[in-house]
Amino acid sequence: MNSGLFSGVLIAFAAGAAAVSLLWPAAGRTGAALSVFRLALAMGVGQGITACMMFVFLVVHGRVDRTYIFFELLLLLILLGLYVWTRRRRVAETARPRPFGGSTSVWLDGLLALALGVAVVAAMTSIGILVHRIAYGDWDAWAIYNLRARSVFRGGYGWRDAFSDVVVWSHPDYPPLLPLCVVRAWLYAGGETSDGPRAIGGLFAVATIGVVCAAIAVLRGRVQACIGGVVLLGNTFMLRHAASQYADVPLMFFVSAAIALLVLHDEFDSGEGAGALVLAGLAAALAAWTKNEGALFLAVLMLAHFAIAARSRGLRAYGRQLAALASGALPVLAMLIYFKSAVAPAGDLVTLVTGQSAFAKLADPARYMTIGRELLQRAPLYDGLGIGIVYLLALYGLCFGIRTRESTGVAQATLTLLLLCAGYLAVYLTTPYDLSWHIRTSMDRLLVQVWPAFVFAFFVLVRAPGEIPWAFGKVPERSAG
Amino acid sequence: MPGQALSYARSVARIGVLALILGSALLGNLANLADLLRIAPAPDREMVRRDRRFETLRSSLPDRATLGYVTDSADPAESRLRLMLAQYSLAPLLLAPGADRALIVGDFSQSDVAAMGRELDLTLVRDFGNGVALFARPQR
Repeated sequence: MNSGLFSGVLIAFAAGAAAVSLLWPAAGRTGAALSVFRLALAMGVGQGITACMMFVFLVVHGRVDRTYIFFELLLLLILLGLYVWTRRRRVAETARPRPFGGSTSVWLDGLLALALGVAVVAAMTSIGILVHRIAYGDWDAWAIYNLRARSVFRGGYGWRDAFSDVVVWSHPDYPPLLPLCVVRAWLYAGGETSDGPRAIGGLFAVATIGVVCAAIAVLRGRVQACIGGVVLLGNTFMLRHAASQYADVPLMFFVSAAIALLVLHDEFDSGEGAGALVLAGLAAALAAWTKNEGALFLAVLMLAHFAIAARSRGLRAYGRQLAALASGALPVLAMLIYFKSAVAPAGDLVTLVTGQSAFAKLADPARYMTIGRELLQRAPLYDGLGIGIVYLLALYGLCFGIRTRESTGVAQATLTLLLLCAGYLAVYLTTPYDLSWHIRTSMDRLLVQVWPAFVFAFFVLVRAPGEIPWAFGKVPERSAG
Repeated sequence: MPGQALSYARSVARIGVLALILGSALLGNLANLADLLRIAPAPDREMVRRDRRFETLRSSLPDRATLGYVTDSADPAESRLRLMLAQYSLAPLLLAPGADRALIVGDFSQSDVAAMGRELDLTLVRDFGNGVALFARPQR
């Protein structure tokens, strides 16, 4: 990685950190877990924010050139200035997380920490090896995302040709977050280097792991975070896919970040501080800016939020929360609407489905059987070793039990993931393509998009080892808080 | 006492499941790493080779243009793959399959591009070597 590229990564991180601190100020000392969460969040959100800035620059300035760097540094200074200026304002005490006790013993703590350490080292090494080997990414990386980046980077004032329907096979309707991150990386690096897209993919993978593990630690303690982290990294398809340079990698970051922020808001923010909600809205909108599935995610997240929050908190409180979510989402959503209406051609799924009988397909039981069969084969994440992790998680849930008094945030997270899966099912049922082909080329990636968020929601829902009585020792007392 | 025995059994079961899930996840992770360390493929130079093959053609054309694209592959899947790879190398130029445009890129597996052009009723503009050529559609 050259120094220019490294500077670009650092500047994006600084922009993300400034945005997170501005929108979600912390009250005094936050503790290690919440600090790690905020840092991991800043890594991914920073890339998303700067990709948005790149798009605005392209539309206004007309082409990619090094003027962009000056523009970005100026905006970063403004963000940092705002942060320093607002730093002294009072912050609601409830922004500080409740301390969570709950380790059974020192030896179990140590063993789990060791297991997580081994898992992290093995996973990072695997990802590093593949990132090094697969210089140009897998098929879709060069055929879609890096092709788009090249066309924008080289295209000058003709950058919109990158989204021409002449190259309809490269899905020019796909939202451009990842290609714009790559364009930005090349601008800082001083040229098209394969290090750019590789660094971005690796960064989002690491940020996802950080966000999920840290959020579990904040909400359920270190022990639960260690277990969740080992399980998260046990998905070998996710580890291999992290080096693919596909948009699934940033998407899984934004999905898990939005879900985690929803739950964190519900646990810790008071009615005054809705910063986590604003960031959740931003993360969900950035998911929509990454892939078309992200737009589905944003829609079901808003639906789940309405279904749960309106019922449990009342319409007035729901309205305040919706305003916070919307304030984070709307700027990116506005850009997405502009992109879809003024830059990109219509999507192939939309174009083809409208000409065919979607209702007939929805009523065809054979399609349900095909999807169910493929899901049973792929969802358990059985890779030929041991037992499928998903089956083990079901057993784990039965043995440890579910927390019965849960926040509405966890209910929203669970409902969002269920609705998202229902949305994916609807897409498969109505696909204009050969169903088996469509499943074979996409289902594994759809499952990996939701895997980190699923692991997060699972380990927040299931009781931690420290919350249940063990026959071998005393029930540990919780810390005051 | 039965209650105590049940509690003990539950605790043992929980530890067993915890060990099983951690062991299974770690096993998959470590096996994946071992697999990667065992296989050491040669560096992927294919994209660099393809970029070099089309470099002279790209630099001799304007920055913006939509060109036709023809190839000598009989297999539709291979033809499509070659189009996609050529498009990646020639970006931001746009390649439309077929010979309907004023200028057409020829991407052949053989070096006698003039003969290929005659077969397709195209006028050779320039032979860039290595099976790459630029043709013009004859004026009718």
